[in-house]
Amino acid sequence: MDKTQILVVEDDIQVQNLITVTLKAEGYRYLTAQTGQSAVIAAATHNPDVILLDLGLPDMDGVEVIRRIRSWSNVPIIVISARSEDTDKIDALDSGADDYLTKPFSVAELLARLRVTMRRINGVGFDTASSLFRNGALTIDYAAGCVTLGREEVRLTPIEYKLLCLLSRNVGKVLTHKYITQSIWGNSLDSTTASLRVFMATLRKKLMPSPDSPAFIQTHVGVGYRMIRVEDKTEYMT
Amino acid sequence: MPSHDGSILICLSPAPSNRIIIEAAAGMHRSKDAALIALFIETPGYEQLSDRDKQRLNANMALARTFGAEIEVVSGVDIPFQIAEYARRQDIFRIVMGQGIVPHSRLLPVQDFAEELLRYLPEAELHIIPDGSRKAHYRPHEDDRSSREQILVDLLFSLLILSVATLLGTLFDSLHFSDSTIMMSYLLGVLLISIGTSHRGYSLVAAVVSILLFNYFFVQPRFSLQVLESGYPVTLLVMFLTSFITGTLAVRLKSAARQAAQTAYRTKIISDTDQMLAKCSGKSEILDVCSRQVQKLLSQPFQLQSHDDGVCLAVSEFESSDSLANFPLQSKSRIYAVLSVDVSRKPIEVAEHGILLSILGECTLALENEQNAREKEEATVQIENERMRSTLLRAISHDLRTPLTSISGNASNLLSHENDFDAPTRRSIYHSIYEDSLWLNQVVENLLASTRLENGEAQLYFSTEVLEDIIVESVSHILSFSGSHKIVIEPSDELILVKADSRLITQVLINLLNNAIKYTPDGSTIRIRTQKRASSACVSVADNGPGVPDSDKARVFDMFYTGSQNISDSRRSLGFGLALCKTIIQAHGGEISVSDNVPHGAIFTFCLPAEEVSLNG
Repeated sequence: MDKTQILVVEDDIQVQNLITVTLKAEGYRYLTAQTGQSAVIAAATHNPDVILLDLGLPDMDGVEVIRRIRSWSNVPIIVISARSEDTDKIDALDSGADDYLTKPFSVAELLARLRVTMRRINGVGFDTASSLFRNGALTIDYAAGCVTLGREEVRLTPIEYKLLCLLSRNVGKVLTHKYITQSIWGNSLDSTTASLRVFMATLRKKLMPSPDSPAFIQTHVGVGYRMIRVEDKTEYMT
Repeated sequence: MPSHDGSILICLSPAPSNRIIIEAAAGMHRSKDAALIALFIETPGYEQLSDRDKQRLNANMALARTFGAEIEVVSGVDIPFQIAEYARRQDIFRIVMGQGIVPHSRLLPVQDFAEELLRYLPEAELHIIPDGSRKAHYRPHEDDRSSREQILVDLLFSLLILSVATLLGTLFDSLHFSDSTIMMSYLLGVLLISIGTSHRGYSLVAAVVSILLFNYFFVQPRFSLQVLESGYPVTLLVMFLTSFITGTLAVRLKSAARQAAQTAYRTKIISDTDQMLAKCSGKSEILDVCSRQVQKLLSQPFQLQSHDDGVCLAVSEFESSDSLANFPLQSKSRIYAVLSVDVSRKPIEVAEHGILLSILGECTLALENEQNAREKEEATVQIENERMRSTLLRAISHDLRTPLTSISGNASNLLSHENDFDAPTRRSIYHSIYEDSLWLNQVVENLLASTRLENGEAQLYFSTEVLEDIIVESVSHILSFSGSHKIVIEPSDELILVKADSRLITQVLINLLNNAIKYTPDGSTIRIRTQKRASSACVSVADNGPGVPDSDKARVFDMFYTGSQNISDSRRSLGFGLALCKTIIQAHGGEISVSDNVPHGAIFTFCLPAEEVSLNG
């Protein structure tokens, strides 16, 4: 199998070294860029499989880089942000980024995110022909509109079902509160966002009959939600 | 002696030519430091001025004000004397006046006004401006608007009094009283007329008429104006003079009494203002008092607009119109407010003008004092903040340097003696570097949080969050260096929502957990419980370590307090961690406290206002 190629966009040499050394050790191929301009060009010419993008670039805003790349490509983008304000991550996610890492991050965390993203693009578990979605014990039958956990059918309200479908179609990707509320309710008023918290909490509880069962939906406080592949779960316990 | 600082006194009058004088005086006024004062002496005759004269006087005052003159109004009868007195008191000896100021209240031959002034104030430097008033001799017009009815009333009153006096005279005559008794009744009549009528002319006329009546009815030959006895003309002349002088004195007395009453009223308003202002605290209250006092004084609509915050107090359908009289409430350095009076329907009377300025002066003083007090207070707060900041900075640099020293020291050890260390030692060094870097990150997070809090409410991003999510998130940040501590989350049965800045609350929990790990021996258990109490959501972090001594409980949330046994140089002081927690929780409208665990250990509990959500299905 061809080695996955990763474009690392980072202006700080030390951090870039840390990332490239890690990638090399894990057997990934990589190329690097230090500015937003060269990142856009490298993305166009080398067609990488994944882009690791630092948001604080010297020449242009990282969000702008995402917008430009998204204008022609669907390549997964993981943003790396030193800014700890949630708004930066949310902006990046809303502009089309798939996932985010906050500096300082651990090497294990970086690799875990990469694997999740890779599995998503390889489309593991998607059975488009039968319109069935499988994730561990969870099965969603889009055609029949029913959800089963193991052998048990899970009774969901219409909103919960819509939420679950939205998350499952974007499995592995962090969806912001705004994106979800816009998709389900068509607005992102404060009251809607508050409702989303409640629906998500009940939905999660229904998909997690006991505290030991795997969590399908991950909460990113202040940012959004993501459905993860249950096989990935252990990798998130960093 | 010329005035030492070039201050100038302008004599105001209702004359049209007064404009020329004001302009000339303004032209002479060179130095900004010197005072320019426009003085009007309000005589008892002011009341009788016609509206046109009053309007012109107001216009003259406004003109003087545009040249930066201060308007002063002084009550008095003797104009030159009052001017001289005022000038002496204010130490101003340059006086600008017109050629022909005529003290209209005098019946005696008019002595030259300037001469009279110089007699009172020999050191004055008089500037007499040729204003043409010699040629077109100006005399203020007396008010003729209300006079028609007034004349009728006064005439009837005078006739009645004289008739009564004549009847009394007839009665006394029939009782064979002497002539002097009859004369006395006429004198009394003239005195009463002087008091009862509105113009001194009546007393003069009444004096003449009473002589004629006396002559006609009671002097032989009766019913004729002839006088036979040789002594009688002198008697009649003395009677005339006596009645006239008493009459004049009565008129003076009356106007003096009225002026005294007016002065008392003005003094009362001003002293009331003083008293009310003394009780005021804060700018808006002062402005409120000011507007109430002005309202007592003026019948015109007006508005009082605060200069820097735009607060506007308007009275009775005030509308911006062309004819506004504006009075700034200003000190040397700044304008506090502006009073605009609508004078389109009715001008401000001169008397009102004086009081108005006094009230505004008092209010300006109060505003200035208030401003000074506030600035002083702000300065104190700022000094306190500066002190806090420098203490914080010292604590922070300590907190940053300690892990940095360890990291750089360990790294340099590895660089120079890597091969001298055996594998387990190396591993422990790596571990120490890693742990210190994580610790450093927590310090930075706390710093960021405190900067955001310092910038106030605007920097907090409140959103409705599930409490448990925040707890899980916080614990995920801790696990990496909790060592052998065991962290247990005890979920609550119900879904608890809080409106909070999730980042900051996460930081609170991280600090509480770090604190618990730091102060408990390895292998201790830390339990996180959530609970809903009435309208608040509470989270408690309980450990089974040694606990917090009672003596420290009160101070544990204080800035830079790190416990009594290990003071500032303890390795991981993070002295402001708990203080930051308290600040964050308070900014959320919640509470944080510490209590004892059973059998031993500490419980830190914070409560946030719980949030109810109506679901958008």
